[in-house]
Amino acid sequence: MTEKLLEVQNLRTHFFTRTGVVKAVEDVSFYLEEGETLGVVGESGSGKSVTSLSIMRLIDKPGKIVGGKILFKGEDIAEMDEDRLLQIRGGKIAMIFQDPMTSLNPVLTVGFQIAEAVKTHLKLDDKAAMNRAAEMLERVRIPEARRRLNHYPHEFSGGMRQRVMIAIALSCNPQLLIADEPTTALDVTIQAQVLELIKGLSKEFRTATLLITHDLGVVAGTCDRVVVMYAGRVVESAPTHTLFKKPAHPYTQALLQAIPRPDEPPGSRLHAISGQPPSLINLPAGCPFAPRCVKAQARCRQELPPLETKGAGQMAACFYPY
Amino acid sequence: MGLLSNLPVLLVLLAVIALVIYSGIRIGPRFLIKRLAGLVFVLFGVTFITFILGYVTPGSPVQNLCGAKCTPSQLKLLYHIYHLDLPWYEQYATFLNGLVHFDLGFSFTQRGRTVWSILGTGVPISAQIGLSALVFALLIGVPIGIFAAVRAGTKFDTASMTVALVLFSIPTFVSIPIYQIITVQLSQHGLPHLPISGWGDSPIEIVAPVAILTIVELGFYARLMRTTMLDVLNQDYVRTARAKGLSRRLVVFRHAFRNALVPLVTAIGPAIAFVVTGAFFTELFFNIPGIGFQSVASIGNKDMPVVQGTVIIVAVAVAVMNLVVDMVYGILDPRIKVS
Repeated sequence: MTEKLLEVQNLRTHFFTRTGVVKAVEDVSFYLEEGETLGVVGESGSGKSVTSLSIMRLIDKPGKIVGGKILFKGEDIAEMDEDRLLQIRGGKIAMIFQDPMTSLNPVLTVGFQIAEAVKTHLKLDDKAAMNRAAEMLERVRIPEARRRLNHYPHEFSGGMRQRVMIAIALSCNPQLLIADEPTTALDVTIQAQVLELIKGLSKEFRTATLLITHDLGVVAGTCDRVVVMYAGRVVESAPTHTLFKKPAHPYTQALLQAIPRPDEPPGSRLHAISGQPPSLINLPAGCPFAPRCVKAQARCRQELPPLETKGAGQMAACFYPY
Repeated sequence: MGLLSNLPVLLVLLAVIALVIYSGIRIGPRFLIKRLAGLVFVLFGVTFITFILGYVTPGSPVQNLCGAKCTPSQLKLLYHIYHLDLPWYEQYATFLNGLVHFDLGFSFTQRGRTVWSILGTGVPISAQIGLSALVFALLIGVPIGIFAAVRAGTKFDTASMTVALVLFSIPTFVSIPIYQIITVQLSQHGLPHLPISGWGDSPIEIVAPVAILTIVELGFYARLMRTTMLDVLNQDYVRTARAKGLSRRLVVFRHAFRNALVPLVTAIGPAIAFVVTGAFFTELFFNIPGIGFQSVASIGNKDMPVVQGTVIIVAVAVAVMNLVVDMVYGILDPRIKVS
């Protein structure tokens, strides 16, 4: 068996707030093969973003990675010293964020912001770095790339800025690209373009992609495998087609049901999951989804179901799957 | 006072001139001309208000000048010399006419002295002290603020910000007497000490007033810088910079600091302008013939020409500094279109 590109083992990231310890990520494990695209889905507050920031070690106080391993090509990022971390960040693992409107520095030119990453990791001189920046802008299909190098972020639209973010991220040929809800802040038409771009370029650059999203539609079109998170835990992981055809966990089932269908008669009610996600400060004993689960039994409220293999490549944390 | 003690004044003046020229080239002379034209209107308004306030103030301004044994004919002559026998619009016209010739008339109380010469001796002294204090406060306060923001929540942060708050909160009329009591004690015990007060005898006399003012302003700038840096450090683009693998130093200075400069410039602009009003208590306690002392005294003496002169100087300084600040915004932040 080949070494995995990224292997997250029992990751636990907590936030030590005044009101209590928020267990944002609790015992999360998954892996990513080279060149693969893995989707991480879940609703707001399920720990998706904290997981991705933990992989980059970008968790700030009062947050802290309190347990687990983040093995990147066998090296544990959670234990890494600052110098090595700076080589990994941007160089080996790059990240795109949710809001392109605020993710670029308003006072620096776009060209500078790309070249800066290139200079840091590829050790190119100023001129070569600017050439690389122009090349990257062309790759993300920004017209008149060379002229646009000297423009500031506010002179670009939201979709264009996200392209610039992609250009920065891929400029140093990273082996892993983490895209944290890259299309959430964009118009629907632009969303598809940006997703296509990420898909196409990650194939071209042979970059594995960790795509964080709350949109199952995005997952369906982009990912090889999917991890479903709920209340800071992984509740299910499966190849994409299996997940859509035969979801094991009731939460996944409910999520799939909640997608509005064009074939339903007009005026019919949308399916929603009743109740609210639990507070991550005082998680109830047992399965965190039990209070909202239609299939929950007495056991579900007492015991935490472990993440177990339920089918080919499919794992779920549920006592009563399917 | 020697070149060295004038260095901060020269530095600030050079910086202001360089900025006007640089941004004039960058943003275009049209903007500059437009703003300067606007400035003329503002100053016109200011002169009118200051003139009218002086005009309607009750009491005879020249009575004191004339003395106790004043005869009506002498008083009438004085009224004539000071143009006080003319109707208000003619007085105002005379006042404006003088103003464009840099002639602000004579003082009502200081016999034979022109307002211009009073301002001319007072303002440079106050500017020297005020700008020196400002430069030192920035040089010390800004790095402390940045460091506290980067280390937010640590002991350094809490300690430095508490000290800054205390320094900022102690008024100069409290800190100066404390300094002077200590100095007296030191001299009584034959220990080395700085002068208690005075001006013009030795260059070392500038140290204490500048230090006192620096301390107050330092607290302000350290706290301002911490707040804005903390805000900027939490921005998404700082996270992007960190995700690129940039060193902490580059993230703080290249990506955060420049964005934190706008609020700082907003505070520094008027601070430079108000240097020309002087620091009243500091000048009073240290017996420094600066403009702060002069202008407060002239208000008490109803010396309207001096009051008017001071107000106009401040108005010019504030208007010019606002212009400079606007231009600096344009340089610092490409999103701000100066027009």
